[in-house]
Amino acid sequence: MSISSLVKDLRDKRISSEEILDTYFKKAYIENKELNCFISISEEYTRKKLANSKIESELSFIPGVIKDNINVKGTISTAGSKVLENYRSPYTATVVKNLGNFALIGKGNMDSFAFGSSTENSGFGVTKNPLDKNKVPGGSSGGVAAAVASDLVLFGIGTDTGGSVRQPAAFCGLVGLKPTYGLCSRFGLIAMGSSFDVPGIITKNVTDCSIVLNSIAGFDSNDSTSIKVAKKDYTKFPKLDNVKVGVMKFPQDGVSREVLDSFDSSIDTLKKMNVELIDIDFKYINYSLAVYYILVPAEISSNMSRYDGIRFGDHPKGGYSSISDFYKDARDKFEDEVKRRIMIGTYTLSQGYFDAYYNKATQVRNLIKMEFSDVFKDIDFLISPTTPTLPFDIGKKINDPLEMYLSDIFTVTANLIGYPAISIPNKKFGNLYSGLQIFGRPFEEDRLLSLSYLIESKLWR
Amino acid sequence: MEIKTIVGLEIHVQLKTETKMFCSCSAKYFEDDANTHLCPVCLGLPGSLPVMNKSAIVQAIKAGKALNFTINLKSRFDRKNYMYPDLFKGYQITQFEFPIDTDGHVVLSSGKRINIYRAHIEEDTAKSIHDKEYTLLDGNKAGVPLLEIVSSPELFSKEEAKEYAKKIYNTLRFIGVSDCDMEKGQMRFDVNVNLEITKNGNLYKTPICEVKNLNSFRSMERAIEYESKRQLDEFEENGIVLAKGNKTTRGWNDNLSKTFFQRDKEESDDYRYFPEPDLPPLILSEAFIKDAISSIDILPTDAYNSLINKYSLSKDIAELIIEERDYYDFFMSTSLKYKNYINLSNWITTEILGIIKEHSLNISDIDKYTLIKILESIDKKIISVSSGKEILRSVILDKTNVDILIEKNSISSDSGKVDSIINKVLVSHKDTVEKYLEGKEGVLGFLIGQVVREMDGRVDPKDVREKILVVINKIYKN
Repeated sequence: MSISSLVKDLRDKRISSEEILDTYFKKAYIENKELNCFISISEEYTRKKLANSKIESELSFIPGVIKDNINVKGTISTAGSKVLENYRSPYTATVVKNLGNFALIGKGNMDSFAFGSSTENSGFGVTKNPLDKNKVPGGSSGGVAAAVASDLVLFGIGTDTGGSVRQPAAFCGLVGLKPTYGLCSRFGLIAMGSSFDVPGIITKNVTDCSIVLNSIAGFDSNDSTSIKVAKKDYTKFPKLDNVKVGVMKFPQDGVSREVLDSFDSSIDTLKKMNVELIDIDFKYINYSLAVYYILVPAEISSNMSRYDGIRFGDHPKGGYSSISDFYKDARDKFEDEVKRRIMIGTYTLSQGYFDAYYNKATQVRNLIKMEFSDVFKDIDFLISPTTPTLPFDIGKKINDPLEMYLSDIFTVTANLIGYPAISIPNKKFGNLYSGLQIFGRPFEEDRLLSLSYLIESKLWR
Repeated sequence: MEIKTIVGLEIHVQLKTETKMFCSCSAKYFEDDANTHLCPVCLGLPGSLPVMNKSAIVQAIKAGKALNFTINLKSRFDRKNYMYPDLFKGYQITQFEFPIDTDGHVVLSSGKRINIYRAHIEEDTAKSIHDKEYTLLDGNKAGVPLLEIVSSPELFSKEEAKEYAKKIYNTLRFIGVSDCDMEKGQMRFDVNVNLEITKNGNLYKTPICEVKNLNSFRSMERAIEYESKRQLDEFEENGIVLAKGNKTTRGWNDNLSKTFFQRDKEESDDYRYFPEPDLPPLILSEAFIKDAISSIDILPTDAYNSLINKYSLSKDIAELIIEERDYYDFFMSTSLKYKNYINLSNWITTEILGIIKEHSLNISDIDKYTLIKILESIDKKIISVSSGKEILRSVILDKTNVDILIEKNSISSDSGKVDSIINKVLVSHKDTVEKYLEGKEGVLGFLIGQVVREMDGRVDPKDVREKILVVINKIYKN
């Protein structure tokens, strides 16, 4: 089932809005026991919200999932962490408001505060990959991807700071779009790395993705990093002539055979489509992951400091007997990966280390930006694999943070430079897919979706 | 031994704006219930984002102009990270590396120029209310825009420090950048003090000490005074001199008039500043700065100069009039109708300011027509100066009608009546007249007073004096 087909059924009265809600909530309760893709199921909220609602848009009554680090007033928004267990936001994120009267089925499970690539760091248990339940669904938007992949919803909104939408989309055989930084509002997204975070979209196909982007994109005066650009209809895929696609050269260590194989086959597909392919050997891109893991923890260490235990998290009845008890309780609520990143970021921002780490990394980030803008003078798009491997087994990398960080190697660059990037399912291996990542020019999501649509129809339709 | 006190001042002022620095909550919270001016942004709730308040930036530009700063086309906000319960986000948004205003100065009455390093915009914190058992937080103040003005350490006495601070205070109030009401916490001082001691031809500098959070001119002066003495005692006792890392922070206890140790450098915070990723750099256009500056109709220095040059007022009087924008406005609007400027300014600075200060009134509440009417009536000899003063007081305090009072107190035009009363008074006080004739000229005042009283004040004492003298000379001298 896709968004457009359900919209058609709804408009032709083959299904009523009540039937949609009944069916999808029933499925959600059953499947969630197995998959653990929702931290909370939003039936009460949604039935109340949609009572007396009419069809207003393409997304009216369409079941969707919102990642749990995106605030929705009237639901609980935990950001996947025990620190915000039972936290009710008094306001709703702009992107959720923009979605209108869609049917929120549940809030998606995630690595706590979006720190992770497997959803294993959630304070509320791991989510299973619906395609193979021994595998991780990817992360940090793993719950969102699993819910879309198992047909519990037709679309999901996640957040992407270093690949958190594209990587789980790839692991679950879905389309995942990270829009240009500034196209979609961050207001109401519980911040991770503020200069990297964007809301992103996970759907089953490119057309659905463009429908959702139509509704969430747009300037927001509540977000000072939001950018005013002319409104586009992303469902109208523009015609692409004389397209030049860059093919990223990358070191092949650590990249699995399946991924290399499927990347080759997508190159073949593009060749058959008569696009011009240009090999691109970046000078600075090998530093992306290092730069990312310096700058993002720095921003994280600051963004996390509001969870000091005073305002968020429960206090024991009768209070604490000492300040050290208070500190211990407040700090113990943080999951391990959260503590790790706060410590790294606090260190790199410290006096005496700031220049060597934060400043140096910022300089390299600028070099990478400049290099991309140079390269994109000669190409329209750039392709790479989305992930270095197929989905890995649950538990396999959880005790090896560096190995886990490497799963972001292809995705972090788009966040460093703010460019849009999409992952679309590539070749199938058993039940699993590998993902093809395509970068576009900033604010040219229409062209990026257009190319993705063409490849999608050639690759596996 | 020669001792020189060196003072640098950091002044925090709340900028006068309708809303807070980064959200649309009202910034006018004085005496409102605790925690009624709050939203997700100033409470630092997850997912909220700051949006710059344009009018706070305009105010910072106006302050920049009035204090002779370079106003930077490009500045930036940074995060200052530290944990304290009154800091909801765990960081303060401030301008660290690139402040909006740099290299300003003011000139003291001695002609000495005091350089000001910088002025930057930041957000205020919440208010902590400490009790024995608990601490309460009031977030109404959290996120109110502040301007921090950092002087260079060129103030060499508590008097200079006070004059400098007063100058900033008057200037910012005059152009409406801040009300600087210290009782409301709208202006606070941090003072950095140390001594330069010349002893046996050698120069010693004592370690710098910062006394934080002083909220009156008086406590600032006393803290400087106390520190100068304390540091001298300490130097004589242990001879420790200024070195890298031996700056200390002290607090001020107003009841004991003492500073007290808070922390030394080793314990001091590392604020881990970095650029605020939620805000783009603040890029100002020349046109925006020009517009902001043009919203200042007149700078206090220009107002002062025009009072002296155009209105021929004395320096002392001009100084009094520009002390408050309202005084200046009052003078300017009354001077449109009443052209004896020196007389007008004397009446404003002595009579009007006397009454409003005594009764805590605002000059803006005083009807300009009243003063003009009284002054004109005095000039036309309709009323005497002394009844003019009484009428003014009565109109201001008792809200009586000025025209009726002038009518009631008008000097009698019936000169026959004055003459007959003079004759009556001289006859019934023959002894006094004798004394006058014996050369005790001081008694004349008594006789004048008696006549004025008999006339219910409706007579000009100067006229009475002349007339009495005529009569005495004519009749009694023979």
